This record gives sequence, C-alpha cells and structure tokens, in this order.
Amino acid sequence: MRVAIIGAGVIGLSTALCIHEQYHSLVPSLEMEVYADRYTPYTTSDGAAGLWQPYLSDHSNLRETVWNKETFDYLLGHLGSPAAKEMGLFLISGYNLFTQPVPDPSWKNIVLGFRNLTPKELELFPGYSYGWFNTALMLECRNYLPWLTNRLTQRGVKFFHKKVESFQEMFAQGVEVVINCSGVRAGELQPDPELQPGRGQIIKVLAPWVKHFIITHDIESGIYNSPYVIPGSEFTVLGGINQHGNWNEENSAQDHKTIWENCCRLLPALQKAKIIEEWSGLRPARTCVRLERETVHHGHFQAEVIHNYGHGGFGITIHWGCAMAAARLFGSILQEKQLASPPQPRL
Amino acid sequence: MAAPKVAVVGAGVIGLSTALCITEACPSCSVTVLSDQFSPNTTSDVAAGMLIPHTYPGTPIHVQKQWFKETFTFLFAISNSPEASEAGIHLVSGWQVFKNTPKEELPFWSDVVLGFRPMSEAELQKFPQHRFGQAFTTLKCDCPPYLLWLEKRLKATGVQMHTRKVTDLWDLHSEYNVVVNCAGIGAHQLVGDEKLFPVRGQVLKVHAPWVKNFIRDGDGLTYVYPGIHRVTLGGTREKGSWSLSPDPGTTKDIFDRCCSLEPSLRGAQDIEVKVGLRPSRRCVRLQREVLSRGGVKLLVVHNYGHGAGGFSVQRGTAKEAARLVGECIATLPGSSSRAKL
Repeated sequence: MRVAIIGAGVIGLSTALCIHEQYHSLVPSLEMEVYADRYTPYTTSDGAAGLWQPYLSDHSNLRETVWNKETFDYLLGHLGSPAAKEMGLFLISGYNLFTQPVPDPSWKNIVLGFRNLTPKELELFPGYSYGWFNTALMLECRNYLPWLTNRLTQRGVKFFHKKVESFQEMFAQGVEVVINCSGVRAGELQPDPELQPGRGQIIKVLAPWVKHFIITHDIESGIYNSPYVIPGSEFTVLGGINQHGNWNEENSAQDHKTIWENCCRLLPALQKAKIIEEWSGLRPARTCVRLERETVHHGHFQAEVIHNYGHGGFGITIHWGCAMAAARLFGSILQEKQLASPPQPRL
Repeated sequence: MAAPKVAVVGAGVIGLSTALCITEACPSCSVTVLSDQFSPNTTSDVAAGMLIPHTYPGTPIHVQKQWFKETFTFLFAISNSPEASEAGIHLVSGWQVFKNTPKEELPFWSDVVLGFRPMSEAELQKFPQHRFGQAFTTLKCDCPPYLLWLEKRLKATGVQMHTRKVTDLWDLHSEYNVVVNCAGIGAHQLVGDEKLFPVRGQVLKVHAPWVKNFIRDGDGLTYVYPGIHRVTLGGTREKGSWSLSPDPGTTKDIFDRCCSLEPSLRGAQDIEVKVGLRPSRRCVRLQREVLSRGGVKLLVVHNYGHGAGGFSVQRGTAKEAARLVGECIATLPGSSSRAKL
C-alpha cells in the first residue's frame, strides 16, 4: 500500500514518522514516500526559533489545546533521553510581557511553573506592566528535522525532491493515501481561502548571555507583531513581524530596522550582539488547523487525502498531537479497507 | 596633605570591587591594586560567580542580607544595561532541589532574588531523587569577563595595577597611607590568620550551550551553572585541603552527579577541570586594624574570608571596606574630612 506525504517540514516528517511507527507492523505492504520541493534547512520550520508556546487564546479550538498538550508531554518525556541533544530539545524559561493585565492562557497548566511576574521583575521591562514567567521547551528544527529524517530513512521511507502539482498526480502513480502537509502553499493543491501567509522576519544573532525567552505582546498589533527574543543552543533569534497576506519571502530593510530597534530597546545588552543571519518565512495561518479526511474519486478508485496544514506560528508547538490525530485518521482508512484491525492501545 | 595613597592587596572579585568602592567613596585617593595573580588566575576565576549567598555562622543575618541586597542591586543594574555582555553579568533562572526538606524553607535571601517560590509537583518530576525544591531567578558574574571589566573600569578612573607578591604588609608602609587586605586565601600566610582555612573546590567547565537553567542540590555539593560560553559543573567542599591539582577520580564523580541532575550533560564537550581554594572563615574579616612597630603605625583594612560567598556579597563588603578606609584617612595627620562617606 503506497502512502505519500506531501511536505517535509515539521508537520510532514512527524506525521510520516507517527504513522509509520504505528502501522508499519500492521500493514506489511506499507510503502511510505515523502515528496517536497524544500527540505531542511530550507523549510518554513527551519526558520522558526523552536519555542513551544501556543497563541494566547485558542479561540475555542479545544482540540488544538489538546494537541498542544500532547506535544508538550511527548517532548517532556524525551527530555531525559540520550536522543534529546540530537533532537535539538531542551528546557528553557522566560517571560511573556503585556501592557495591561490579561487572562491566564489555556496552556498555563501545560508548561512548568507558570506564574505572574513580580513588580521587581517588571522593572527589567519598562513599558510593560504585567507578565508571566514559565518554563517551556525548545525544539530546534535544524536538529529535529534531520533527526526525523534519520528515523524515517532507517525505517525505509523514501524521499523525493519534487514539487507535487496535484493530488491526482499522486493517485495516477498508484498512491492510495496522500497526507497533505504542504503548509502555506496548500492552496496550490486545493484552493483554501482560509489559508493565508503570516509573513515573519527574524534576525539571528550571537548573544550567548541571554538565557531566557522574552515575548512581548501588543493586543492591538496582534500575535508576533511585537518584539521577541528567543535564545537557541547556538544563536538567539530576534523577531516581531507577522504580516497577514504578505507572500514576500525577501528580507525587508524596514522590518530589519523594526526588529533591531525594538529588541534592543527591550534588552539593551543586545546592542553589542553580532548579527549572523536574516531570514523571512511564511507562517501557514488559518482560522483553525485543517486536520481531516477527504475522499477523492479517481476513476473507479477511491483515494484518500488526510489534510494536516494551517498551523500558523505554532507548528512546532502542536506538531505531535496533530501527527497522532492524522495517524488515527489513517487507522480509520485502514479499517474501512479492512487492511488492519484497530491498533491495540499501548501499555 | 597630598592625595591619600591606598594599596589594595588582591585582584580577585573582592580586591577589585573594594578598589572600585574606594574610588567612588574617596575620589581624591590614589588607589593601587597589588597582586601576584590577576584574572584569569585568581580564585574568583574558578568560581561560577552565581549570586546565591553562603551563610556565615559568625555574622548577623541582617548584615549578610544587606550585603547581598547591595550586591544584587548593583549587578542587576549592569545586567540591564548595554554593558552587560562585556561585564559578563546575566540573569539565569533555575532550581535548588533537596533530597530532604530543609529546616529553613525560606532562606534569608529569598526576597532579594527574583520570583522565588517553591517548585511545583510537575517541576519536581524532573528530579526523581529530590522531594522538595525552590525556583528562582538570580544573577551570574562570568569570570574572566567580569574581572576584566572591573579592571577596565578601575583603569579608567586612574587606578594602577601591579603584579607584585606582597609577603609582608609592612613592605608597603613607606609607599602607602592605607593598606587594604583583600588577599583571600593568601591572608593565611600574609597576616597569619589561623581562623582562615581553605575549602577546596574542584569544578568542570564544559561546552553544553543547550543548558539554559541552573540546577543546584541544596547540599551545595552538586550544581550545574550555565555561563555565557561554558557551563560550570560542581563540585567539592574539601575542608583543609590546600591542593590545587585536579583529581581525576573527583572529575568523574562530579560529572556523574551532574548528569544525574541533568542527563543531557552526557553530551557535553571540551571538559576543562579547575580547582580553587575558597578562603573560608566563620565570618568575613571586615575591620580596621592599626599595626604598630617601633613607634610607626600602619593603617590596615581587612576584607577577606568570604569563603563560598564572595560574589554574593562583593559590593556590600566592598562598600563597608571603603567606609573603613575613609575612617582611616580621617585619622591621618593633616587630613580634613576629604573622604566622602
């Protein structure tokens, strides 16, 4: 049975791994292939700093809150393992800053040690009068995507450097199930007016004295349109750009100025940081994540698509919960085709 | 009279901080730092430089708290300025974990550090051998950068620095009006203080840049302190040992203990081993002394014996020492009260 995953960002690769782990032994004929025109380090995921943190409000997308929690718990369980370093996974603490009191987020009990900031801590951040402190996780895709790729390669999954033009193209080749993890360009495979780019730009600097993430929020500007500083294992990411509807992947000098000035005002010590790189990418923004099955008729043949895209600026945060949900959808496809009984619960 | 001449013996964190406070309190003084060692070869350079106080059994708690508060405030301001990276001062958050619940659940410094609170159940799950813990945010002074930055600030105000091994304070008597003894463990020989004893500490400095939080076992023996470029793994507290040679068995023991607190350290690279002798005493010797010899007086201010807590009380004790220097200067013949207190 041939299964094709379109897209090799964090969503595509983790969904591939999750499905392969769960079903390979149940479906001996399973042949899995990944198709993408961009691989690490050129995917959208590679540009992300890698901080696990959902948006402030889940807009009543409760299943997304569950997927976020599943991802956090899954990663937390891997922290003590020897794989953690290779995965690019580590704990990090930090600050969320506001200009006015806000309700606690849906994820306050998912992260570790969530609390409000004390007045003395707020002295560090003039202009901000309210905030949170918590410990969360970093998952750096420049390590995680190669790690996922290695696990998949070991399992015999094949990779193809190819831009897929249509689902039909896959079905015509004999693929029975397509997992659509095409991110921001999913609209090219099937029009989706709810999917829009959320253009971001970041500056990568050398600032190894910064040990905390700092995310500021401006309710008016919207999420990630306010400065943030996120220290990685090697570089620190400065950002604060989120332009809805902008498809331009070129770096903008104006955005550079905005990011640099705002971040240096937030953390004066950054003025001495050496700039290493600049990058722009398009968050695959959507009102909610599209995670569902679609049956497509291809001649007499019934083919299946599992959509898993539209994760905005929280792909890393939600990826494993979504991968497991996609795997459940795959399981129901198998059941219908009577290719496998439902997977036994893992003890 | 001419500008009072002050010699500060010792160029570790205490000597340099004291010299700085003297220049601030007494701008007309001429200050010279004399030491046989400068950074990166001082005891301070071995230390991680974490602002977590050590409790001195012989000093009232309110005094120790005042010293810590002054130090924290001073360094906090620098950490929040453009100079922070050059000065090597940065904030770091983490956990102090206990295998057995401590007698004192709230240390005297809990309201000086930031965000101090007990650890949650979920946080403690990361430390299966420990039953209780405290989370907080504090400051770290990375050495050598911090000491080099202090030296730079001192030179900018005209302070001279000379490499010179002082074996007898009286040797300085003809050149200086006041001698400030910040010789650390060297005070054992220099002034024959039998109450001063070394507490040997061996540490590892490793490359593990993904470690962003500190972890300290409440017993003070095992700790993981992430610095700017290296993580300091510790340690030992060997009372009375004068050995400065790294011990390989100890290295393995420290590494294993730290890995059990933070398993990802197994992937640490470039392990460097260092040894320092904490200049330990029941209380910091912070006092004036007038030495006499054949009718000649030598005005001395002592500021040594900070043991495991030098970084945490550097500014508070230095300011007190500077105040004592001012008192000394006031007693000099021909002096008006030129020392600003």
